Amino acid sequence: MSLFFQQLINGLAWGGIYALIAIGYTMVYGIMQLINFAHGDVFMAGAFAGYVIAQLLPDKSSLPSVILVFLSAMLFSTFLGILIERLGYRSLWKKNAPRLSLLIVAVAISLLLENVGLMIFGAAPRSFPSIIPSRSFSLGSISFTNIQVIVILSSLVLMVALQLIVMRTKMGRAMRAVAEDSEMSALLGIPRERILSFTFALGSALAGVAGVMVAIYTPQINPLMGILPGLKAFVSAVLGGIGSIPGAMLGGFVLGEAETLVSAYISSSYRDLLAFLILIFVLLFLPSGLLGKGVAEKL
Amino acid sequence: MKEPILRVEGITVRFGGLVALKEVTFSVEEGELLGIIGPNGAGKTTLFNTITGAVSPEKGRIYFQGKDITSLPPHKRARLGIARTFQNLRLFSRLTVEDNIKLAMGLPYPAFAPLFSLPSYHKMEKQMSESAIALLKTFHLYPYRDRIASALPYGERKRLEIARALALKPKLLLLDEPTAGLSHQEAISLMEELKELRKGFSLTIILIEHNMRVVMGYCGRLITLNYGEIIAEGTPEEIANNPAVLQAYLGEESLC
Repeated sequence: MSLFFQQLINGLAWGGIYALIAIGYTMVYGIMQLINFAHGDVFMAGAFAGYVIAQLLPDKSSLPSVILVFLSAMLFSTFLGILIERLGYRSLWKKNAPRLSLLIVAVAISLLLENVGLMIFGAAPRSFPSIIPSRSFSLGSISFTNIQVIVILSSLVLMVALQLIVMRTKMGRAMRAVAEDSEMSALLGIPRERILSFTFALGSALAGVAGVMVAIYTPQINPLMGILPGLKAFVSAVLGGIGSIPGAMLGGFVLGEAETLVSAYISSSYRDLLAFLILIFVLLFLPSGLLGKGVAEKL
Repeated sequence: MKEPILRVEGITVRFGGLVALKEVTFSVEEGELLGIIGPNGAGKTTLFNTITGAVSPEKGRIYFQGKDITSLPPHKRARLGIARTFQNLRLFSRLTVEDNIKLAMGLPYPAFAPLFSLPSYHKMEKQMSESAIALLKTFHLYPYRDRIASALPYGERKRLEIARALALKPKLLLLDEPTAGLSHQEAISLMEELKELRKGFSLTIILIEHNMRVVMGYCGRLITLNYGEIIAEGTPEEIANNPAVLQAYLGEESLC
């Protein structure tokens, strides 16, 4: 039984990370009906931005340094997300281009970011400076690290903050409106391009934070590190019901838990298989996901 | 002479091989209530879409208060004061009634103010709530303000659609079949309300309508479209006796 609880704790940390990335997928999908496959690479870019800043700091493990590393990762990935939207998607979206065109652009941007990363940093993994020295605690027979606690708590705080922005602010209200009917929103004077940019900014900022979290947690980074977590976060978003923000959060945690339980009780070599099995089963039997509204496709 | 509030000059819209509007030219004076009639497929809704910017014309220009708006995006035209409603309502069904109204109250969209809870943001929100409540009361929707829009009865949803368009503080309101689906009694009371509003908000209204009693009773001037062309323009009496109009409505001997 203690093994089970131990695994639950481990799963929560990964779940929080998947959830943070999945939110970006689901928000962009809500507005553009696009799976932004470059999102996993924005997460990677966040980790590298944090890495570059951490290298420059003299006292890496002081609190201001930690905050600075997270902030710079957030800022850089926000900037990157807005840039991707401006240069990659906006003109196609405004022209009501077929979704396939947008999807091809997404894959192209993803490959571009990965290869630029390889050009600058090389393929060899780099170890991330330990800006938060790992310490273990134990509670009865369950042990956990301060990093796990930080990852879990900060992902929860960020999710609550996001939910407040979406449900309580004017920008969030406009986001929900554009997601439901972007043409009508424009007719009411809502600058939908601006709302789209804001959506990319929010999602990318969360992905950037998740990037640094993974970098501290694992603790190494490489330019292709975004592929697998990106795909798994996409699975989380689909599992929760694509387009639904609470769904993405739930899906992330469910996937994180399921993965760690599979590695603990079956075999860790099945860990990565699980996400894709879940994807296939959800698409076959529960296409609108756990919290999806089951809304018929708009024509 | 005063500049008309809306001037449409030689608008041609083509969808593939189909000519939806052909050289349409007309203007609307401030404060007018103009009716647009015509058989199904005549291009009435396309004309609205062209005025709001959802459809771009192949040829021609549109002037609003003397300003050329032909290449302005829809949200900028809305900000200038052009609002429209849809025949098959386009409410944000998952948002509350009050949020539907507030959405249209718009400007500006500060990205960071709400994140830091700036006092200016709260002040703006408060002002917005106050004017939203006033509008909801005018339209007898105040008791429903916290309900999800899709949970309202049809008549209330219809009123909400018009209230939301007015939340934009428009100068020109385009109504696409506002009385469709309403009983005669409801249609008349809606038109009476609109008449009052037109005075109160100093509005100019263009109305697409199939209900001839409404059109004849309330519009000052009518335009008849057929196959994308204006075939007649004039007072309701002139239109009712126009042979071209009668022919367009095939077999109908009289419109009233």
